[in-house]
Amino acid sequence: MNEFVAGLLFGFAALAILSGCVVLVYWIKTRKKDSAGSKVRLLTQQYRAMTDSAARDIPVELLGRPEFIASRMEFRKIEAIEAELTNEADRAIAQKLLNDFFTLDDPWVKARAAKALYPLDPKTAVGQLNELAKNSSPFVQLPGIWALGELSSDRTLEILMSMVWNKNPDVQKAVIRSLVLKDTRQQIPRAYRQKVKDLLNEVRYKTDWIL
Amino acid sequence: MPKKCLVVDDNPETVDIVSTILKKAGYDVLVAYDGEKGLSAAQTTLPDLILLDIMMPVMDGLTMNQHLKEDPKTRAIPVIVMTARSGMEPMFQGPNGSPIQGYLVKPFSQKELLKRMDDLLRKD
Repeated sequence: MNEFVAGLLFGFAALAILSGCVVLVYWIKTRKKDSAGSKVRLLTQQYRAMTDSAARDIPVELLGRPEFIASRMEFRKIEAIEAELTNEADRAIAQKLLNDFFTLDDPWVKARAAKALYPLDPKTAVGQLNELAKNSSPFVQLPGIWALGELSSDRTLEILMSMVWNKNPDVQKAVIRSLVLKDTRQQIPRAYRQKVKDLLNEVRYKTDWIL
Repeated sequence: MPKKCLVVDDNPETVDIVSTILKKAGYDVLVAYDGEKGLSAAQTTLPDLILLDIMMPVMDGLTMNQHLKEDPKTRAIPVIVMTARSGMEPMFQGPNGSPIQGYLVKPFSQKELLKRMDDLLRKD
């Protein structure tokens, strides 16, 4: 009888431990998902708060931008990878490490990683940025536009130029800002200089913006 | 009496557009296309407000602003920096060592510009 009770208790205990493990695994998984989702939620909330505010001092397209969040851990890691790029062997490792950032949820981290990857693998980097810039959500588009503006190539310029008349005013402003910055820094290839100048003049005449 | 505003920018299109907007709004407008000429115009005409670009030939906007703040005659003139570069506000000094009062990141609207000018001149 005692053996039967002990067996029963052991069975309950094993079942309880097993259920506990299942619950724990489920909790960890949902927590991870939620933490990824909360980043997007936070950016969405920030974006809405900014766009709803009539008088905003910080332009929406600057939200979450690397120079304003220099302490973000992922940015530090990317900077460290960039700093280590001294020989060919490092380049291969760096390329692999940077590609891992594209699996993360934060669009600013993806954009920063793409910027760092550009000298190693321009095709993948620009592909990632094009994907971000053409996303349906402005808070994913803005980091892509920022990074496209930081890189000098015909392709990045073409992507930006194709987005000048974007319907979202924050996205449109970010694109124009990137083009103006490229122009100021004299980073526009000769073949595109007149086209960009004409495009910016068209913006001047069709909008009330001062560039 | 209309307020006097000095526009310092190396981009002629920007200078034209800003001048037209300001004249329509009732300002007297003076222009300069680089920091050195801008500084000289500020010292001789003592405008009520200066609109300043950063990236300019001969003398950049940051250096021009430093010279303005060093000169007792021009130290108190409010300056609005107009630039496509964000995050440079801490590098600009306002009157008497205070932070810069005006920093507009391009592109910005006419309404934003006039409101910022109005706020600064009223404060002044």
